[in-house]
Amino acid sequence: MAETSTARNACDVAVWLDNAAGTPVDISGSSNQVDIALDFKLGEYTTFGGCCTYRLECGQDGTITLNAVYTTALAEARAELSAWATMGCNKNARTLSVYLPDKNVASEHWYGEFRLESYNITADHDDAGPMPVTAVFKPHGCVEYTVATT
Amino acid sequence: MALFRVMLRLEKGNGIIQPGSFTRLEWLSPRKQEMLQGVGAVSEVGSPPLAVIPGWKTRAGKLEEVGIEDVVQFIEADTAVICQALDRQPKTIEKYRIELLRWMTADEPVGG
Repeated sequence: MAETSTARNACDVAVWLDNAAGTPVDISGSSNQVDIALDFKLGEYTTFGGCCTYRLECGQDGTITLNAVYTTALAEARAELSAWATMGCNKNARTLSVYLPDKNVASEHWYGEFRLESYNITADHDDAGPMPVTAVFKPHGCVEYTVATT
Repeated sequence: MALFRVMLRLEKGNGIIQPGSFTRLEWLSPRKQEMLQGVGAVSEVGSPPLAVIPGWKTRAGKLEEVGIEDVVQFIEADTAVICQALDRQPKTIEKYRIELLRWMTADEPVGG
């Protein structure tokens, strides 16, 4: 089998998140890990006399987890997420976009309207690195997938 | 001018071209068209013969005599040559071109 020549790493992944005004903000420079997980709801059944399990599918969900570094500038991941997380009970959904392996022609573009499920900042005095910031997003609707042409 | 079948949902400005549609990707450079082909987002297809286009059988016969046999050849050919072959005015030829382009493409809006 021919060895692949198209493997790509995550160095140039791009993450964009809407700010409170609905303007997409590139937060790639202040985040360093993103995990996209899609879940498909399956219901299983077996029948009398049968030995196999069958499954039906209906519905899907997903989760995007973003790890960022603690920074102090505005329009970066920590500032946007902190502002969103502290908006009170009606935070509304925001558009989140992830471009893999980079933001270029032919790149994968995962996006959708997301609600903030959890937001976590860990402050550890023994850790010399920047404080880690983690946000978990749940889709409000479908997680969309397109191929970028710009 | 190549013709492509869209295989994966493809962004175009604020819209999306759905899989199964045809597009010329005229807004992209040949290099970018190649990049999209490389990831399987589009697949180049052959240009359909004019004779199979509904209502084009007679025109196809006349155009074949001047070496124009498929849609892409018609769109790219010298207008004067087509005018002479079909005995039509340039304005009519442009209408034919628009008709063929509409027949070949089926871009869809956002939200599909």
